[in-house]
Amino acid sequence: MLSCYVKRVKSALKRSFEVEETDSSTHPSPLSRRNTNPLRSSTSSTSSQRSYDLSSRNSDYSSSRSSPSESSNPRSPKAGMSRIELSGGRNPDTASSRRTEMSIEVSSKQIDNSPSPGIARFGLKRPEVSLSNRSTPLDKLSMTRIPEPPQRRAESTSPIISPVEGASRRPEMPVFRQPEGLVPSSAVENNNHHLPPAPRPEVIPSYSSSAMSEAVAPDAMVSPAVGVPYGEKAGGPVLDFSYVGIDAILEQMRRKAMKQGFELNIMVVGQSGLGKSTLMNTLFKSKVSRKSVLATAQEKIPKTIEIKSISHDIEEKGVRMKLTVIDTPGFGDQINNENCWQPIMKFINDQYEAYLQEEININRKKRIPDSRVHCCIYFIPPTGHCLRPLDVEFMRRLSKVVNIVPVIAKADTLTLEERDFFKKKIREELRANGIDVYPQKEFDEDAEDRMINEKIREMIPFAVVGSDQEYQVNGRRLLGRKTKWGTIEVENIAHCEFAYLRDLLIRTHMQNIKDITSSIHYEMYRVRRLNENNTVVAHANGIPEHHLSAHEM
Amino acid sequence: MTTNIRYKSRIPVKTEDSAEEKQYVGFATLPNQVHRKSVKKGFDFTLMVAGESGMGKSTLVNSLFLTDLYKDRKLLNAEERINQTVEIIKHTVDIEEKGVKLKLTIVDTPGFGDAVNNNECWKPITDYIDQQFEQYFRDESGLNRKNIQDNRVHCCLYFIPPFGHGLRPVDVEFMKALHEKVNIIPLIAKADCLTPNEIKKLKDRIREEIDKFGIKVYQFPECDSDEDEEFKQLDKELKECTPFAVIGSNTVVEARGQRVRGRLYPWGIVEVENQSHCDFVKLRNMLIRSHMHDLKDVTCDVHYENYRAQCIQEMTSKLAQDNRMESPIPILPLSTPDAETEKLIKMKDEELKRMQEMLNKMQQQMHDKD
Repeated sequence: MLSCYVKRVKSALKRSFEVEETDSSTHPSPLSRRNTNPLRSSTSSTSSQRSYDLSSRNSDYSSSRSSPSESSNPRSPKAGMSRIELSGGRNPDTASSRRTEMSIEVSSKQIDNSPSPGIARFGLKRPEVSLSNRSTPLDKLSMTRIPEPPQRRAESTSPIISPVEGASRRPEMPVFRQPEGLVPSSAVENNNHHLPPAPRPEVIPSYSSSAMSEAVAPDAMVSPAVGVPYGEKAGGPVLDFSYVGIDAILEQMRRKAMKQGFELNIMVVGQSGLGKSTLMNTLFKSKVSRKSVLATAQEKIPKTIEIKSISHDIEEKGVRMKLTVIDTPGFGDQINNENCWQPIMKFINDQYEAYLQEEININRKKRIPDSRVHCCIYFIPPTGHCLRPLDVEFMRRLSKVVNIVPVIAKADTLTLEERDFFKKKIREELRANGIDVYPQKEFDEDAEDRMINEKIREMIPFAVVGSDQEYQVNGRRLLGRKTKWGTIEVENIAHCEFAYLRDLLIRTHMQNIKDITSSIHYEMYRVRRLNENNTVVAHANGIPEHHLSAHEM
Repeated sequence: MTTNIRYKSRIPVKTEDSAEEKQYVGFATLPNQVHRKSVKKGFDFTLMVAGESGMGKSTLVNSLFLTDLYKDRKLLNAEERINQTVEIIKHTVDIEEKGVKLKLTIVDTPGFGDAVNNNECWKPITDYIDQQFEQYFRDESGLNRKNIQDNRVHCCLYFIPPFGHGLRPVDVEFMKALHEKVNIIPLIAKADCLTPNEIKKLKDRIREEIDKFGIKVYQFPECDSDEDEEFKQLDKELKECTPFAVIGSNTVVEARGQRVRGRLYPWGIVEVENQSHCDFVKLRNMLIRSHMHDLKDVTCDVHYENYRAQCIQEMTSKLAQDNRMESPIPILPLSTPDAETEKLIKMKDEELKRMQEMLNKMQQQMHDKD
């Protein structure tokens, strides 16, 4: 019974990808049951849109990780750091660009079925917003119900929350119960039906105890802190008077983003056979690559470079994403590879052009379809010595128009020492040639960005191994490659750095990547284009001359 | 007196069986004599390694011969490589084992396939091989043939990257340019990045493509029917295993309580000499222990002869064009127009002409040298 509540709760919650961290490491059984569900992979025709429910796969991975989301995750220090920031009383007035990210992360942390961390986080969340201390969450809970002003705030914010949370249940039910008439949500009412009979003061202990036991009011088990930013801003009674509720905008933005869905366009570039399609499948845990969709009997190297773009709609915990994978078969495979980067640059600029045309339209769409390439993953063959001239030429040209993330492909052929040496060599050569890969140094916004990004910059290029086959290792089913001398686990950071790449691309820096594409690369293109046409450019933007000339192809 | 003793010492004589002694001639000891002489003389072997940089060629060569031929090698970085052309570098090392001396020459081809534009990147290699043939040809046709140094390339190991799905265009072009000049043995390099299934698929694919493109790689000689079963079995296995998937390493690691040569990964240890891990042992056995002499024979008998015939044909056709009217050898009038004898005479004439031309050429060259 417990487990099916867990399942319902999980499926009902709208979350971003990052949720697995918080998924119950304390509930292995429901997760393991879910693991056996095969991934829903319906056969598709080319570029048709498809929904893949990633939740089952995601929980699979969370079970293999037992780190609570609060503690700094050794696996991805940067991600862990940002999480700590969130929970550690981050000032609301830091860079606004973080807002969207934060809202998603905030909500993602809320899925917690284990009671005490939930309460603790619950307590933690409040200080972040209302500067109260974290010592006695229960007290605060009880406190909130009594004084009037917090209730009023709760009231004002509840209408916003309840339609969003729809079917989800929140532990703040007791709180929202107070202004019962104001809560229209049926779900809330459902919960209230459980609780109304109990007198108000008694609800509190029952809530807490229910959260503890997860038996009394299973509905209340859901994300304690989802409503925190808005519901329980009422921290201690003393501090609530100064609370305005501006941070409720996070929730509003989150809702809007969830409704709209996200778009991500990734391009993969590299010689044939380096595992590009496999890596895409592994990253998104579904068959998103060109090969899964256009099955060819045998791999043939095309005579010229082709650009193949395949879109999928994937969904995870209510968050929809339109993922487009742009493949470039034929790159670097010929004998004479001169100018093989030109079709790719043309494609990228074409996407910018399309967006620009939409933008300068008189009657333009409310939401311009974004087909700009947000990120280009460049696959470096694991020779172990240094970059090849082709790699240098390509990256030098493309780092100016798109975010490049270089990865070392098929890294299971390098021992750890060789890997370190190779990475060092590559970093040196990138520096020597003035190639600025993502995350670019010049786009760091502030000190903490720089700190996080420095950590990443020390690790690029990531040495990745991709696999879409599962094997049994130590009683767990993991993605990996099985050889005669051992099994390489894709998600094990001691084996390869796939997890870091996934965190960078999806869990922490996805929005940043998109921002840089739209606000920097696209703007550069736009300025150049508009200058070319001698049209009046509204903002000179002080773009220095050398930037403009740098884009001369 | 002395002759008797000599006679006795050569042939194992059983004084009792005089009947047998009468039947026994004694040339069964010829192999021993050859053996003794060769051991004294020593062997030489020239091996060429070709492939993109970073395929593990140097490591493999070091592993095969248990030496360190590349101690002072400097690897270029990407900038320097942009303007690099294909070079030919020779490393020579003298190895001795159980009294047998081997003069091993490794011909390395740095820069092959590394540039952005790899058009004709195999040309320096084919030129080098032709040069060696030409030099041997000249030496052979020269006056002093005592100490000819054989620099001809006996075998070329070609490293195919394991990352692709088969042969790439540059692989096909290279092998087609070289398959008539040298014994090509294709290898799958860095095989530790492939699972057993992938290796099998790749090998099948490569064999298919080699057939499709008509590339003549080195074929193992057929077993004689009187060889024992074990040898035949081994031979069959060897043939089915091509192209060999190899892993090279010269570092010693501890695995299963033993010290073995291998590569240490966080997920396990790859043993170079473990047959279930890779085909290194098969390659070594084939290259050194069983087929080294055959490689040399094929080089001498097939590739060199091809080259020589081609060369002579070119020379004759060139000279025939130049000296159409005059021939150094007067054509004798035939008394009896018999077709067969006519043919014979014509053949002999041509041979004579050829020899004359060669002599002329030699003399010219000697003149030029002086």
